[in-house]
Amino acid sequence: MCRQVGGVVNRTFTRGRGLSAVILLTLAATVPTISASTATAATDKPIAFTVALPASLISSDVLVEAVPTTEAVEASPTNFTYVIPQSDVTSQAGRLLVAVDPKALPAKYISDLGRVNFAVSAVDAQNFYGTILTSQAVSDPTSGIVSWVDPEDITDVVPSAFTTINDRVPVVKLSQTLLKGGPPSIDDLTKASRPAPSDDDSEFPTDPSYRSSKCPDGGSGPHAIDKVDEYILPATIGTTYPIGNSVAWMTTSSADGNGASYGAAMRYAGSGIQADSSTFADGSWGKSWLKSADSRSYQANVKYVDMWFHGYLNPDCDHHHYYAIKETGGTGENAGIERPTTWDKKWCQPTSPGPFWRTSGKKYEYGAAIKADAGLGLDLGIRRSYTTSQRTDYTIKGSNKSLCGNNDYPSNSGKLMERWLSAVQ
Amino acid sequence: MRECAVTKSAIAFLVAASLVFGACSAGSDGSPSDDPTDKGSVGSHGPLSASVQPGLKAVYAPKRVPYFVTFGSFRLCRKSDAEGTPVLERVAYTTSVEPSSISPIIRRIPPAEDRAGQAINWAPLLGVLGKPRNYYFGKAKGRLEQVSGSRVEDLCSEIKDHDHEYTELLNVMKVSAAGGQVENFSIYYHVGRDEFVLQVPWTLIGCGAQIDPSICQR
Repeated sequence: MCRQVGGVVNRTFTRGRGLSAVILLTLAATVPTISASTATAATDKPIAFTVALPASLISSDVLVEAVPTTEAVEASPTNFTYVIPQSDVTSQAGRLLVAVDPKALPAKYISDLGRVNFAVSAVDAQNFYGTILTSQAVSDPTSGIVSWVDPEDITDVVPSAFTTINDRVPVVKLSQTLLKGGPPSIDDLTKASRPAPSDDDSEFPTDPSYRSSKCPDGGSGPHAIDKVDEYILPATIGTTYPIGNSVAWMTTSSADGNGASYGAAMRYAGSGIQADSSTFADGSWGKSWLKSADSRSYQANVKYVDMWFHGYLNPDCDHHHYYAIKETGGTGENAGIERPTTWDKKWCQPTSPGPFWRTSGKKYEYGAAIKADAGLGLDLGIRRSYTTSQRTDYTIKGSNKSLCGNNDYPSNSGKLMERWLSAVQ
Repeated sequence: MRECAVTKSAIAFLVAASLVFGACSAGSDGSPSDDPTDKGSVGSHGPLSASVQPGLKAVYAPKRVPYFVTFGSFRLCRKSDAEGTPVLERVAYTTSVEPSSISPIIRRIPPAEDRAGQAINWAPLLGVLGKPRNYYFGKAKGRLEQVSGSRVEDLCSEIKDHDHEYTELLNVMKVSAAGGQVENFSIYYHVGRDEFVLQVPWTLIGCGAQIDPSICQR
């Protein structure tokens, strides 16, 4: 609850409701309430993320590991995971709660911005499960209270304002408020059906408790992760569809820390590729595309890695995660793309000629934005919110024009298109 | 999402502060509070939202001046059911090039089943030459009422449904040869006895001689 005190807003915590994610602003701190589905674990460590647990799994079946940062992976292709203590992995009302003290993570697992990629794996009688996700630690320098947030919830990051305090947990200063909710929550562990064990498979007895104890735990200590491949893949980050004499373009700034969630995939030995996860990747880059009257899509290049997690006692538990680790700064465009034909014209509005631009919007999702021709053979998606560093401009010419959104009116929609007014009347 | 109640005495301080967006709360300027996937970007005070993200609309001057231009598409809504009903008071504009006049007006759009005729006549008005009821493209429908005392009942989650009724804030600018530029504007309202301000990050431009040529040059 916020209370106004002499022009400065103080915030009060209510114990027992769980930690709220806090973003410091230069005037005051803010406390959004967190949803009912998140709560503190038995420890005092903040919850880094939650996962909806299938009914066949309990928390002790699930292994959570932090994976090395982009810098560490680029510095060396062979690494190890950092195993989150099992006592910090609990469950409550069908959700796995993973509590992590970011200060306790070794430096190579947490980026300068406080971001960590966590890999989750588990097994029951029928299936392997897994996911990979990104969570970001933030702290309030006044109180020192640390919590985790979904990096997608931070849409305006001012790089020069990052300061690392002596416990290495970054302080995030935002020029605009943005925080919603708290740590990321995963609703579906990706499921990969294992191959049926053969009758004489002595390595793989049918007793489920044996399986659970052998995989993914694989004994004590962390697991080896090797980068076996990397790919530079173009991701579509936006589209513009001017018509007639109008022109349109996109602009992105080069602020470090801005980024997006990109689809991730995983594969257990013998199973197909499952693509239900995502990680948050960023980079220092900026681009101002030239104006054009063509329908265009805009690409930003993203570096993906193929990380082989291995060293389990049961080699059936070895698996691959394919995920984005950085936006490389390379850009591109495709001109002359087809205009969408399925948008409902109910989101169109008449518009007089003149400039129009928009920054943030509803989530801008492309399911097939990343075509991984080189090796993955599947389409991954991009979940990208406009940040204030990404702007779409239209210069509308002519008086018979309307602007249309795909899922809301143009001032708030994810995507935009210009159409003839007479076509939507 | 909790918001801070801003007392009357603190409003001047907050409005003057350059980080007024952040002074009070984490929220968004249009995203419903109950949608965890929605990523609003701009802070706001209190339960009112204007359903826009930061942006700008400029309109080229027609042949004849002075002219009227209407900037709307600010669909007002309540972010959650937990707070009371916002009651609008007034709108204040931050201008860099003073237009001849600018005044707000509320436009009420009924549920879809009550919208007769072409749908486009019920659409919000992003930036259109003309004034109620006389726009370049024809007649925009809806019931008009003054800002002061207007109640905003609809939830932001409700107006995501296009068929739901909604309330739009229109800003009608009269523009002379010099042009007019509003950098952003603030909606003052109260909920019960609590006063709030919603700063709307949208720039409104009627082209004219004093506007940056890079914007108004055709």
